[in-house]
Amino acid sequence: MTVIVTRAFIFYVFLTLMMKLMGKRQIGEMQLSELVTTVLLSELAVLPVTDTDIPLLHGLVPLILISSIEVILSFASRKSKRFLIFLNGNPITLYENGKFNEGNLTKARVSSEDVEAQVRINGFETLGEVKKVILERTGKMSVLPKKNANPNQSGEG
Amino acid sequence: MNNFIIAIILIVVAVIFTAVNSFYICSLCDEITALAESGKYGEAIALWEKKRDYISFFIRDAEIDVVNSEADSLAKSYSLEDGEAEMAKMSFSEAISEIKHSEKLTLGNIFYIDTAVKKVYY
Repeated sequence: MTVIVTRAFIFYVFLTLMMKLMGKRQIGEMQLSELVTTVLLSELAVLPVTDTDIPLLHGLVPLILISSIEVILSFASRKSKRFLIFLNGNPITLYENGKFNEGNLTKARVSSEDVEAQVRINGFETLGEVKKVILERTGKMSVLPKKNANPNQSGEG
Repeated sequence: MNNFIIAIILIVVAVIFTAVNSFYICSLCDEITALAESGKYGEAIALWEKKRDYISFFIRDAEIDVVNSEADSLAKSYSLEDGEAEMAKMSFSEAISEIKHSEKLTLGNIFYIDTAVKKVYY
């Protein structure tokens, strides 16, 4: 059991680091630690259910461990901004005042076409109507319009 | 804040629970092996059968089944010749050692392959 608990912890840390390396595009709606927890929990829950050779505790104890780590990390992120930035990174500006930030595009592994697509999804016809595009911690892009620009609602969806 | 405290308590309980159980299973295995090696087969088998259900909470069924079958062989070995009895004793001790080894927190257990697979390869 101690081996399984240690392995669960190692997998949690390793998966978090790998997800961090892959960048925000993989995350979608969740924070990084939430995604890692979801991935690990779903797998851990399935194994002892389907394989009766595995003792129930081999699934339950790592579940408790990983859920608890997630709660502790969330708490630590809320209390310490530095820890939040370490774990989930900072929002990144991809486009500002008519120019793409190439360094940030490379860092986030996002192409200018992806940004343009996101601008259109948000109801703008061209990048000229947009002041800023920011890649948020969750992996979603926020599109901030210029003062006089209005998103075309019919174009949404 | 409440969730944070509960999470801390759960982690501490989980770690202590697993550590204590691993330690207890290792000492049980040592005890059973010592009994078998000193020739007290009956007591070794009785102790195994008494603690088998508890151990099966933490160890895979496949490993439990191996020890069960070795315990059966050992029980029958009273009627066997000396060489066969010795073999049964060794097999039983090895099966118990496998359980003990799988509970130990070693780098080999964490990073390498399963002990059952090791048996096949080496």
